[in-house]
Amino acid sequence: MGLLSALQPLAGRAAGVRRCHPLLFAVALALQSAPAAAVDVELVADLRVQAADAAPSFLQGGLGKLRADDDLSIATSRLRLGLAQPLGETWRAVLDATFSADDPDGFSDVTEAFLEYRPYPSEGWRTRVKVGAFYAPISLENRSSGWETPYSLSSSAVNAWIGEEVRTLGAEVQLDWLGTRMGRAFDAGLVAGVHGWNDFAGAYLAARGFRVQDRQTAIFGVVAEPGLKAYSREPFLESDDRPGYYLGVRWHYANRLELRALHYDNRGDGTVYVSRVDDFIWHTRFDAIGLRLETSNGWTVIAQRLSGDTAIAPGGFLILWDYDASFALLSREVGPRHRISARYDDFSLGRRNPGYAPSNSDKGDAWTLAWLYEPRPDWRLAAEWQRIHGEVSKRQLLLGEAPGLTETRLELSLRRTFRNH
Amino acid sequence: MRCVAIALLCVVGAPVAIAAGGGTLEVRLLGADGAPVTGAAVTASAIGPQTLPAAPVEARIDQINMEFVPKLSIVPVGSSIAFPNGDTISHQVYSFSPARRFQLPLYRGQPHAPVRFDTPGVVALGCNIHDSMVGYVLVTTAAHYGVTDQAGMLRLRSLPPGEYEVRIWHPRMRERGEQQPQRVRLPAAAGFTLEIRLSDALKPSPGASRASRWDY
Repeated sequence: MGLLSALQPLAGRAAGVRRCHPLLFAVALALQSAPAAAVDVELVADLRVQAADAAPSFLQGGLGKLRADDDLSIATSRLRLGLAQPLGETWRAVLDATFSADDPDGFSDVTEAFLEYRPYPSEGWRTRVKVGAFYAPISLENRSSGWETPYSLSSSAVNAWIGEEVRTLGAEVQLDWLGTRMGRAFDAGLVAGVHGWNDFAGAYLAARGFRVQDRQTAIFGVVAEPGLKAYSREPFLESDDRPGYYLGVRWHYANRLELRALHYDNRGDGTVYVSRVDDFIWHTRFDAIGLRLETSNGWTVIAQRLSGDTAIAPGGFLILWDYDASFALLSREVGPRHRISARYDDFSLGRRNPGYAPSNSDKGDAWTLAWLYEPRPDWRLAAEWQRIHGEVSKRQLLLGEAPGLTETRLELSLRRTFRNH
Repeated sequence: MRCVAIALLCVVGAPVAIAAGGGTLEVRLLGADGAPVTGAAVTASAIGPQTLPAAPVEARIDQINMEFVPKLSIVPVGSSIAFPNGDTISHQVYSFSPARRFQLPLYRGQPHAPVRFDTPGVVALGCNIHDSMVGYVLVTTAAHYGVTDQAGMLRLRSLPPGEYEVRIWHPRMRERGEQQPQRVRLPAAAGFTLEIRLSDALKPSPGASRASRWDY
């Protein structure tokens, strides 16, 4: 029995497949222990209205790239609960769950649940350790509570994919050098993560390409309802007992410029077939780089690029996809309560093996324009317009349609946040 | 009588006449670009055998919207500072500066005893939860001190006549400028204006705190 099996006392019923329930149990137990300080609760109700001219979306198993259907609806309204419980001075437990009206997952909606250890800095150095289910530090736009972006409603193609398939179910250690507390203008840090339950990160990407949307797959969730033939629907499973890892660096200048780079490898064994999801394990690797610049007059610039490959190896024969996605976002605070943002996404996915056409490929770009208004700290009104064009070969292969399609969507959001703090 | 001196850390310029009241030391701090430098600490110590630091004070540094308020405090040696936490969220204030190391958990509704500062020097403050929070305490042995205003000005009133050593410090000053005290003679029943122009540009100002109240 491998390391990950040993960490997994409550194995799934299907042979060779384990899910991550104990991580949540640990957090639940932690929440019940005697606190040194009261739990911080954040409850967010977000009413959404959208009008779209789009193909049936990924949520119905379609090939549409937006979180939309071809009509006017309030389908994407949602309720989010965030809990943060200090446990003594240096530990805390965090849980985040989102309940969405359009989600096929029902009540299995916990997106993050982790314990964090953060001792006070010493002599300029500071350590942070996280154990549980959480996001690796890749996104430079998803920095608000609930891993939402404060710049728009949807996430970029890069980070939408992270939200769909890439979650750390394991442990992460971060080491920071706090130069800003020692007369220098910058901080710098290293991060390293080890994770399991990652065997199908990349499967949905290879099958369907990129989307520009804001749905985060729950820890026990599925990436979409089955419609068209999909590969694994459950990204967070472990079958090969091979933990993955990531290594990253961060440089933060004067609280204005942040640079990050991270290498990710789930070390999946692509020769292993998993009957539960009728799929081979996907071996996914990528490099992610990004920057965020915030000027003194209210402008924010964010750029990220993610490129890598994902592969299965049935019978040892490697079938491999390359992908590359990037975006640039320009955002401006207008007065103390308004923000306007524009983002351009570019993405591509293609099978590397020559001579095996036809196969799925995806190439496209997207524009997103957003306006956000916070009349009070607990109220937000927002509007977002999206236009995405994708050349998706599966439209032709599976539906007999032209591969190229442009989809548009307008969404309004009225959000109310309740806090006990 | 009107005395005016220009102390330039880089180049000497033409004297300018600025009125000053009797017994008042007026310090005007300009950046390398000539713009007033706001929020700089200024201390003045009388040079002589019987100089004493100012009496200790009880000061406070609040935490408001994830900022230390004020960002820079000057206190005499032996002073105490309270951290009342005006925010509704928790903070964990710390310092690992040699002049005063401490850790202070500030949870909702749990007031904490003030922190005493017995060693002169600069103490950089941080929050273990919110990295964007940065504050400074300058612990001084000088008898006279203050912070420059929006016009880069500080007036130290009711100073006995004599010779003084004036030092300036700003969180964003580069190293070279910090080490150069200015000596001034304050005549009896007269004012004195000292204009200091920094030779190097200040480091970039840090960005504002993040809008989110949730730490990620």
